[in-house]
Amino acid sequence: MSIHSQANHACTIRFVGLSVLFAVVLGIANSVYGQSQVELSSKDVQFFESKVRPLLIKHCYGCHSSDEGNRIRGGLVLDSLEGWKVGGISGPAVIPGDVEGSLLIEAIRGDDPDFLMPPNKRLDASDVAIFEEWIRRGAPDPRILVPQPSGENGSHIIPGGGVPKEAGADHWSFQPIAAQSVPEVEDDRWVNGAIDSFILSRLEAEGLKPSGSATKAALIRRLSFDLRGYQPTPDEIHEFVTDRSPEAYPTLVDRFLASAAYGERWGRHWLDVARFAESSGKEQDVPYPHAWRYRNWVIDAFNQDLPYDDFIRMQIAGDLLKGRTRGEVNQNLVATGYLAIGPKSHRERQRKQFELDVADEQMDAITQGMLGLTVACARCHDHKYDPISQQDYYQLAGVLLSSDTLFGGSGNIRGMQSDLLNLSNMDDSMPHGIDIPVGLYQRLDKQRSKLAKEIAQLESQSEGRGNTPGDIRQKLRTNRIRLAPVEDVLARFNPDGTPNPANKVAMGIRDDATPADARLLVRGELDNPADVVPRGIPPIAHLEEPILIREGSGRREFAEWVASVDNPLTARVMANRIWLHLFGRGIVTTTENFGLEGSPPTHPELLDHLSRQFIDQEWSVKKLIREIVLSSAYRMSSDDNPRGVNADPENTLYWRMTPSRLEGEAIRDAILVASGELDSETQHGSPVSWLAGRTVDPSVVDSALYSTKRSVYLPQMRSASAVILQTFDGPEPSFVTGDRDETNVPSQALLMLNSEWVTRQSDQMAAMLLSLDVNDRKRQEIAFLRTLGRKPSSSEKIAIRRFFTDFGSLLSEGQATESLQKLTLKDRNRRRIAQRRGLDPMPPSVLVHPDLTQQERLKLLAWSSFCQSLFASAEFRYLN
Amino acid sequence: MAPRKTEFCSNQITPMSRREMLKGVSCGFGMLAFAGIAQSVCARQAAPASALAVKDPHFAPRAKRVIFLCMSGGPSHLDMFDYKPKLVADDGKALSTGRRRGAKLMGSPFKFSPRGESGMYFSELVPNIGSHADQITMLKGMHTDIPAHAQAQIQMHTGSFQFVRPSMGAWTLYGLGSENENLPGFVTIGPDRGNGGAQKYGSAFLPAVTQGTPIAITNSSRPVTIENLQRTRLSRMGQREQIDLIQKLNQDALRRSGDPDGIDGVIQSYELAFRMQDTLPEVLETGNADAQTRALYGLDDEPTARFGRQCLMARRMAESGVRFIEVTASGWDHHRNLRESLVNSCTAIDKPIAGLLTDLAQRGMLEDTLVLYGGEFGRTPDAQNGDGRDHNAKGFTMWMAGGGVKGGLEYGATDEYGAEAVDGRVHIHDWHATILHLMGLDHEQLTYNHAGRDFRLTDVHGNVVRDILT
Repeated sequence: MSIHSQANHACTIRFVGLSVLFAVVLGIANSVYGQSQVELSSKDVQFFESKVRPLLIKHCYGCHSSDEGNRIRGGLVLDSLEGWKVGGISGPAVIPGDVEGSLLIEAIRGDDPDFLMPPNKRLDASDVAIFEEWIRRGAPDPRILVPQPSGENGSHIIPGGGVPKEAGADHWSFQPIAAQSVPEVEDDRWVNGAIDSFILSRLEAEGLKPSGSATKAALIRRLSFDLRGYQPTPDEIHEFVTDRSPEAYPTLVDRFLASAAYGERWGRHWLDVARFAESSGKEQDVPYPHAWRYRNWVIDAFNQDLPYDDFIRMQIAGDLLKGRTRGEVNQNLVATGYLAIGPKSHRERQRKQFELDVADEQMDAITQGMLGLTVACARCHDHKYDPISQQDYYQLAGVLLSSDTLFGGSGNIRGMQSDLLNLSNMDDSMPHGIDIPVGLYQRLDKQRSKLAKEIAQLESQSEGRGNTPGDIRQKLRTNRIRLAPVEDVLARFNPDGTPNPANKVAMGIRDDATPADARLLVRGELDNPADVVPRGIPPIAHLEEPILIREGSGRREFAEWVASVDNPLTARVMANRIWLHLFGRGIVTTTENFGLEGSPPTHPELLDHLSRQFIDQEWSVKKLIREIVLSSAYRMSSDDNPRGVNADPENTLYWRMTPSRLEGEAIRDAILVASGELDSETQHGSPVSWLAGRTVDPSVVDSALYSTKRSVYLPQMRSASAVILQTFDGPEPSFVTGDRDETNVPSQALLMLNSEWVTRQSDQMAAMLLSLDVNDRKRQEIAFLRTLGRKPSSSEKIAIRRFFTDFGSLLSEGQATESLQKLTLKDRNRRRIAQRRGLDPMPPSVLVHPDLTQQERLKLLAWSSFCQSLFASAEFRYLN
Repeated sequence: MAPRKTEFCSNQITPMSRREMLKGVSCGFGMLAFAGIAQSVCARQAAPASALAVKDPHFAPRAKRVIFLCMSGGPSHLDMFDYKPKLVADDGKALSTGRRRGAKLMGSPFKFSPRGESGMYFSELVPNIGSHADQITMLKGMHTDIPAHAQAQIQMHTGSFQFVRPSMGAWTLYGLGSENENLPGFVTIGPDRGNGGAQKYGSAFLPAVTQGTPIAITNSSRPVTIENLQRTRLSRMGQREQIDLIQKLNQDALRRSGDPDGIDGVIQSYELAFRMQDTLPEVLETGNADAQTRALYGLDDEPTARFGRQCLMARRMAESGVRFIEVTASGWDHHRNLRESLVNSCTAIDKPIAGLLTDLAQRGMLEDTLVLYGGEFGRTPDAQNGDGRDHNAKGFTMWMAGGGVKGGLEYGATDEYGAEAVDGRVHIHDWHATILHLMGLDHEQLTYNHAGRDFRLTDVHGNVVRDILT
């Protein structure tokens, strides 16, 4: 495979370079640390690496490694040369050349049983012999601290088979964002701003013409979905189409940008990038009951048009920023939830491994999401394509490992847990969650009493430590594991269902009390530690001189570095994301990879123009969106023409607007808007906060799906989320997702045809239409306007008439009666189950309303099926 | 396409009522849609746009489809397939070395005997599987990295226990496409919710259509189903009326739209969904099986009914061209009370698995169907809780039968107690490489570019176990 031969090749080159570098490095090391160590022969190094280091790792590091901090026994560390030279409380552990005089040998021989090392375990004679041989050789130990690159070369000396550091020095995305001169075009009548000049000059160069303008009806539909995430109302369409003033469109743009729906739409785009979810994922999906605070913070940030650089600063280091008010301080804290909501293995048993995985996940999210770089590739070896070394990785890892991620997880007594950020000084205007259904509270309360009683009984049966029979011990343990999550939920709510002050907490991060540098791990393996790497901002992607951190974690500095106007990636990556959501394709199609293996920009000057504008307009996302949607390019029709299709079938030159399939959120919200059921109030809280248990109670998630809130507020566990959102290519929340899939698969069709949620909304819409005092023709017209934003064509009118006739005749054949009975039964069953589980039962469908006559019911069913057909149509889910 | 898939294919389009036919002709739309679909189903096989289009393998495949019998919980190789007389002889002795020093060895309480011409040993717990000895390659030197259920399950399915990666079914579907557009190409029958959850059949970064369709199985004899597969309120005819209206709107949109491919995809999806509602329940409905089949799979005996049903569904899906079928039996975590509960677990699967092998062979399908058996790890030779065994990732047994693998072959071995694989060691990565190889895919060439690099099922590992290939 080509990749492999390439990698091997790179390895070979590296290896040749290594011996040359080696001498240089040792020279530096000696001068820096003043050690009098002579240059090691390759034989000595090999001996140490193949024989001694494995033994040290296997038998000694457990208690004598500086990694473990407080666990160092006897003050002795054996994971560095300095460690054994200085020694522990008994003095130096090894005296080079003096086998009999070295304490280490005395300990492992175990002649004195009280001094035997490792404790209670005698090393094999052959292992002891290796240590003796090593000391006899003068204890050659190549484990020196690797200094920062210096001088012109700047190469790192950790061998990893990656690309040379100089690689990509001229890569486009690592260059400063230069001001772009607007290109000349032949026909400037089309041009409405710089964006159009960039687009048109390319089209003219290829002999293409931009498509004509979209109709006003198509335009308002496009703009409404793009900025608000659902369709315009018939009144909005009418008003816009009939307003002939030139200000009609800009006014509309400003109105949509100012609506709260804007933040819910664009906040969701960011939540994809932020891999947002309300649980841990992985093998045990631990609920994160407070993750919603971050979600709402993101929505607010977009609505308030928080400058994007501040948006970044707050997410990476909000806890270290100053706030002018208590509210601001709290917002800063909540923003750091970004770092805590990632997927985690709570069942990981080794805390160190867990922390490394968390830091890795954070690094992956930040670098892909904000920088368009895949730094996490360098965890186990130097990056294969980008100039990012493994040492760079561990420099940055040191920053993240010097912070404590606060993800919660209390109630999960068998797995990893942490504190949460305290928002107790939060003013009362800040909501702290939604009410738990009283029935659910009571059910949990009963559970608690029962478990507590059982535990008390079992405790009375147990006869003190050691004497308790195994099965009782087992039962006690099981009951305690069950009780903890129940207590966790009950502690956060009052008996009347309202959240209490215990809910005034947030996920996030804070600096560790003892920030420290991390060790490079060979192959990323915990039991294969190499040298300590000073934490800081590495010189990745030629961005600037490395920054070393001496105090604190360094997250503040990292945040500043990412959010800097001088960082050439940050503005480009976000400008590209904004463009993607408005044009259906990024200027760089690999939205998370601006590295050497990413796809190059189709319009580099345009991207730089947008990025420059973004920075110059104080990182205002709204201003950039406004500029883009006011362009003629955005307002083009999506119709194809043979010329364009032949020359540029993929529309990479933007000779028309690319049609796109709506996301699941937009499809669901649009159905709610059409049926008139949408509850547009913000939801400050999440049903996930009611979840008692280490794993998901699917009924809680299911019942929440009957919510009529906007889709962004639906519970999103990593193992369970709304089926409609999943089915329409919802992002896998374990990954940073910039660009969603757009599939058309049968499961979507099945959902549109058979899902209870869709049929229910269809019923509501049908009931609404039938309640209007107009004739059927008019009702059909209104239905079309509410769903598709247009009136039916004459041929469609014929088809509709035929549908009502044929469908009606089928219904009167009596089959419908049976299905209605089934429906009634099902509805009742579901309500009963909800009640039993303590959840608020959703109101029954209007279709089974007892006041309806059978005839009315059949009519409603026909109209419901008609409305459902509109929801199910391709046009409904496509944006032209 | 394989001719044998006709059993279900033939049912897909024909059962239109006269009324529907007439209506289709009279208004033209239904027929139009149908004609369009019928044509495009064939024509689109090679269309690059569809992630599920049938693709050429890298080289001639030995098997066209996979049935993976997944034993969740870690079945004891020592009591089923890996005969250790020395362990029996040393029963009760304490281990003198290693982490488990002091633990008492437990010889298998079950009798082993040689089976078939090959004389491979099987325990009395799996007599029926034993009768297929000469069709089976035993991989006795299996090993994996983590002796914890969730991680080991995820690694067995995706190659990685640390990261979210596509499952092997998704990789297979991505590499070869689906042969039946009326059914999902990757189905997992009765996956357990825990032990790795949806990751076991997830597509991760691969196209979403490659993910497995889970089919939940309950102990009851009620027909099983998948999400939204059942018409909730309309009759079949009523729904056809509705779909005709939808397709009329779609046909108009197709004419107007700038994205004909997308709209066409929607049109197809409705026709397929409509047919799937008829096809899939039929595959899933096992109540109608004939007496001979019922006896073969043990459908009428309480202990075997559940897994028998799953195996029969698997055979039907294989026949219909489903590419990767996984069948899960859970509850193999026998830390205690092994003498009783392992017997129950084995009884539940022994007859159904043997029945599946017999059935496949009778239909001439065994030669191009790869049947895999295995759990996430094995168990320890020393006793736990007196009468149980602990997790053991260092050595265990899996087996393969059918397309391209030798019969009656024992490959690899554990040490004399069955604790650790010592010979013919096969890691999960090697197992993956071998499965892909049998499907005609080179595990080093089957890559997907994501987040800046090419990913493989086997990451940077994996060797095809060539000695077991025919």
